[in-house]
Amino acid sequence: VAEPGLRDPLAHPDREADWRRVHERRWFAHVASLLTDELVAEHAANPLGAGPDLPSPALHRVLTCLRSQPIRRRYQLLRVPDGFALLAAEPGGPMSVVPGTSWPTLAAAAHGLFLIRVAELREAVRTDPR
Amino acid sequence: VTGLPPVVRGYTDRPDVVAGTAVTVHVSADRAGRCRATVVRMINGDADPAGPGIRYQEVAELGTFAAEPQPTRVGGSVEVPAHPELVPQESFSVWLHVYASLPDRGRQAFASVWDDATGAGWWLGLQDGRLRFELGDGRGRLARVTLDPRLFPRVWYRVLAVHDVETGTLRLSQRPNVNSVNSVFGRVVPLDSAAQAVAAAAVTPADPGLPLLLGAIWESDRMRTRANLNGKLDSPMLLRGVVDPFAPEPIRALDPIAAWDFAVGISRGGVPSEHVTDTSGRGHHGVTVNQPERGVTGWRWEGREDDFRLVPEQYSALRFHEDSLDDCRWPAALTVQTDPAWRSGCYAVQLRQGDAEDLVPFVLSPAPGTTRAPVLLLMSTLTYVAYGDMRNVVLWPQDAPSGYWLKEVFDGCPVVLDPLDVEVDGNVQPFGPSGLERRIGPYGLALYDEHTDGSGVAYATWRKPILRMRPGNRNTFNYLADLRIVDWLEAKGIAYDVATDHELHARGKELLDGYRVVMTGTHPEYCTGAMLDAWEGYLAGGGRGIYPAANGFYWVTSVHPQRPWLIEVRDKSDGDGGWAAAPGERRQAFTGEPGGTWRRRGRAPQRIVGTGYSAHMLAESGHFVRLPDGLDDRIGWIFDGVAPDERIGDFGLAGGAGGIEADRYDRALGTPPHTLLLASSVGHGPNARVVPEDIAYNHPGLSGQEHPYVRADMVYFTTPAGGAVFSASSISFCASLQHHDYTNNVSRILENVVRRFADPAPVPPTF
Repeated sequence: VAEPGLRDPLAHPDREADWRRVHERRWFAHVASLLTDELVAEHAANPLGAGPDLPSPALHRVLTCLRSQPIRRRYQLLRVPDGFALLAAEPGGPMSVVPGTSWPTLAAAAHGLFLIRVAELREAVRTDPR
Repeated sequence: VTGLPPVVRGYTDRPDVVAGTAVTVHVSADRAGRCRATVVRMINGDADPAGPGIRYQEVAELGTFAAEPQPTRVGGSVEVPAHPELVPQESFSVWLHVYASLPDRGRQAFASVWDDATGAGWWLGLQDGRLRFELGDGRGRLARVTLDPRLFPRVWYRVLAVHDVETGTLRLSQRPNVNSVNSVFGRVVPLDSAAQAVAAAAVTPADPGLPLLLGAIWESDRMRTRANLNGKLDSPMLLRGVVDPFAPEPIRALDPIAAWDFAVGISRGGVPSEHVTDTSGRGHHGVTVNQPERGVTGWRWEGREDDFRLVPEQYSALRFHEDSLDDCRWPAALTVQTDPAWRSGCYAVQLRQGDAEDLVPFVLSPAPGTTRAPVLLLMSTLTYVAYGDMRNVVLWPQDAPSGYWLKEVFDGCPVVLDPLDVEVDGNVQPFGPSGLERRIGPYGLALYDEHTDGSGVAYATWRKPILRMRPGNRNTFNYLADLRIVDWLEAKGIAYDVATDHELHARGKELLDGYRVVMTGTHPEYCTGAMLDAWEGYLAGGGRGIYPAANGFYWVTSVHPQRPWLIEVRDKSDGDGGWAAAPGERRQAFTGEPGGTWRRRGRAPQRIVGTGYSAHMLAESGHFVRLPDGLDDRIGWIFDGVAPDERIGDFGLAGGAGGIEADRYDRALGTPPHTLLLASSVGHGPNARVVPEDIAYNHPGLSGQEHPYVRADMVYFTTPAGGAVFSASSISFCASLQHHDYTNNVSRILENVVRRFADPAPVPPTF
């Protein structure tokens, strides 16, 4: 008689997601605390971070968070004839164009995307759905 | 971005064409109809309005030809010619070992002689995570047995399927075969995954007349395959009679109809073959299609050796992927007979059908015996193949951790999709059964992508449309960046020839001999040992080399000896590359040599061109400042026309001449002692980073603002017999050449070097 053991691989889901929720709650709260009006204005003045006025350490930390960890949706920009459109995907969903979002320049698109992510981050921290 | 317009796409049979020879063009058109073909000579491919724009010249009108949609066979398999005894009418057994990396992904076949349309034949594989064995008589009668416990992913199982005619049953059994290293987890797991089942089978399988496939089932068109396996097979056998599921290994004493041993052919020189050997003596040998990986660990792997040549019996597996592609295999639509009188250069066959257009690239090198230009520009065709149609569209499956999105953080700026990225991925709307599939054919995957099961892509092919080589694509890495050098040479009136990495690999130093100056493109990252030998020999013999580039001579790359359109890079774990080889699988199957970086092989780029890959800074290019050697009178000619305190390249299409990726002078890695460190780049930002191979202990302070390794070093040194090397050490260097109508200090420096190197007068030694 076989000794009882692991028989169904689907009965053992990956627990990584449990930690991610803890990590993101802490990390998002920290990053949101850095988000001041001055920092948003710094990004507006130089959305692509071109030198010589490179991003401040606080802005760099915020940007790294926003770029690496999707909060509500994942985003990419798409080059279109008159500028840049925004694509977004929710978990388990395909990328699709976000209606009403287009920008004439890459700098404007980078800042527009930044503002969308900032709003998502603030909302996530405020409602803390995790 | 819905409703993509119809396209016409093509590829040539090879990138390197000697003037006077013929090249075939393979074309697929979404709409069947006539297509016009014109040979053009490429000058510039970057559509950036800040630059000169797309430029090419018509060379020859070829008229029209018939084009139609072509299917592309995707996914790895082994094909064994059809034979009646592969569909036994008496009792038979199928015995094999399997390691399924995505067992729950629908239907995946281990072995089949099966026609879905008629239900004729037999197949053994997985259905939604469970083993299934099925046979059919082609007239609607089917017999099937399915095992209940699902397979654990990435665990080796011994599988036995039996059709017992005497008892009228199908039997199926699975038994995990886990040792301390061969599977994803080890012996500490109390695995209860063995099982067997029996089902009635009053059916005799009909022969569908199809070749047997390992790792797939035929599509109804009998040209493509479906149910492709993600995972490894080891030692599959088809046997007469009924095999006992408890029979000890090996079981070859039984009566095999076919016994495929994937380790046969492994030699000191690797296993560069598509041949799959049937060791039964009955001659059912097969061929691999779409390059399943060889030299991969099998169920017997013990982890004490990581060289398949030493213990081939432990490497008796093949790894299959549903999304591998080694050649689109489209028929030739036309043959272009090149004219020996055509100037060497970058060419394309322009295809036009209605609003659809393609520019199918190839490189024309000079006809033998013709007068050579003083300058040879080497187009980095191995690198073009490696990057291929690298995927930019990011998928987000429901069950994936929300985790880190590497590319945007790596780049330090938003990821911008070009419309051609959308074409490659099939659209950004739902695609495939889950709505989140990637389209594979005809664009395949690049050496930066991962297969569906998360393993790195080790093979890339020229024989597909490579849209990153299409003028107008705003992903201007590599070919389109190298065309800026072509445009600059044309603008400066400097006579040049063009050849390819592929020719350098095949012909060696002889290709370079006779040229006063040899230039690389902007990013010759992928490189074979033969290419390094050729470069080193040329420079040591008095050749003069220019490396207006960075991240060159980096990855150990192998070209398939019989199919040179196919390249292999088996390991990226010791460099800036994106994925790591599986344990025990760091060796190149095409050659048997160790994979990884050339630096780890004792051939750091510093040893040949003075500098080697040090940092990436995709968002924050800088400019060069002169260092003390840059003011040395012996090299005053390099900076003729440039003031000592000028910022060099604080302009350009990449934002500055020191950027994207950068190389550094490092004596410990082999920079020649007499190298002059002329100038270095400054101004890199917080997203720039030191390459991982320089980080023995990870720590803060590795950014472009903090770490001294984040820089591009402009260097110069002389070599024996009057040779010399000039290295700009920055990928973005040539993105500044066209600035201000080609009149700027980057352009001036490169022109000074090219013209001086082309002058046979001796250069003063730098020692």
